[in-house]
Amino acid sequence: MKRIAPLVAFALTLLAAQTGCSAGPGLPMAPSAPSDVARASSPMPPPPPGAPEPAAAPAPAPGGPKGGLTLPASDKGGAPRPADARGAKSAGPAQHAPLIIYQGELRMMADEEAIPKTIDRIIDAAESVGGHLAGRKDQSVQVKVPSGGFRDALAKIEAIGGVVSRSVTADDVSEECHDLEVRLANLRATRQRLQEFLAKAGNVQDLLTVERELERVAQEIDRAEGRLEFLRARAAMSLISVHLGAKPKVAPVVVATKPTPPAPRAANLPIPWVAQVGIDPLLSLKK
Amino acid sequence: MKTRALALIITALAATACSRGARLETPAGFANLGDDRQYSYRATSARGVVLTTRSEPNDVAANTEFWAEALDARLRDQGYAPEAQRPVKTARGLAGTQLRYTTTRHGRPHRYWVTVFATGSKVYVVEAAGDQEPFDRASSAVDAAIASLDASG
Repeated sequence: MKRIAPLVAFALTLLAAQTGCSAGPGLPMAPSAPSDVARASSPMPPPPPGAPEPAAAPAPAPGGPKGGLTLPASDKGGAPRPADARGAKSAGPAQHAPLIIYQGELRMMADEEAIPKTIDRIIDAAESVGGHLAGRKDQSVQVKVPSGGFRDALAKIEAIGGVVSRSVTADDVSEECHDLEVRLANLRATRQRLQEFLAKAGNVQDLLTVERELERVAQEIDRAEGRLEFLRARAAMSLISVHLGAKPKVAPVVVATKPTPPAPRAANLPIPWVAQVGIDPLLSLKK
Repeated sequence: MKTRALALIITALAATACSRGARLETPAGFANLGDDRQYSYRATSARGVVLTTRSEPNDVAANTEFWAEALDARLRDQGYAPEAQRPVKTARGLAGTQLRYTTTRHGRPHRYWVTVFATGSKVYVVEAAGDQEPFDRASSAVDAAIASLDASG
């Protein structure tokens, strides 16, 4: 029993260092302890010859979250990631498609009475590419479309007409996802090793310490899985927000006509025939 | 003596009765309607373009400019829209002033031309009017008719 206690202490120190337990009551890190898990993007040098061989990380449990976690062999820069390198040697390199969250925002103008119909047409356009309504107000609508159909949906909505402005943002979350996957794999490996230690723990103190650490690791796994699922869901469906404004009513253009100068004052001549000059007697000629 | 005086009166009455006033050469396409109490000459086209003359005594011995200005002020006062004012001269050399207006009657645009000639004793007024469209087609005939004014009658 006495032989196992220092081993447990060393192992927990090592695990705490691996999981980067900045949050939670982790154990202090041993700066000199060699680590076989790295989150940094720079390659780690191989351990020196003769150094103690730490336990290899097991592959992720098959019963893991939906979609499984595949560790990429390299990051964007092409630098190899040594995380669990020795333990995952057989897994081979895997490439991830970039995970990008697209969001589109359009501002459109429509006749005031045609706004509800225009919103219906926007929803129809989204549904035609496999999307759905995400929210609707009197003068705005939000639709979610599969990211693969984002451009199609945007083009169909724009074709409805009256677009006055558009903006598209693309948030690349590949790196965050990649980091989460690496972290998740490490956390699972840690959990596995803690479970092994738990099986070997001889006294209650060791048992409690390992149990506590197991609980912390499980919480971290849950958090990482949740965040990963969230990012994947966001990247799978793109959000398009459309704000509609009423076209201003067109007021009739009134062309200002040049005012006719006032007629000069006519002299009141005492000559009767002058008063008879005019078009009306002409147009009613009598025989 | 009595006989001579009677003959003089009869001659004067006959001269008055035969006075035809100013007349125009009736343009082609117009019908001469003769005179009446107001006009010494009247003619009309089938489309209602009317041409008249009147001969009035120049009691105030005013010149053409006076009469043209007096008529223009009166017509504009009545709502006629002035279009042009130009000097004219008849074939016999009588100088006058032509005033051109547009006005609306029965919802249709009309043209109305008044041409004034003043001599020492007489004022001759030639008036022409009609719906804008037929008037425009007949305008050169109207011009020619005005130039044919015979004020010797």
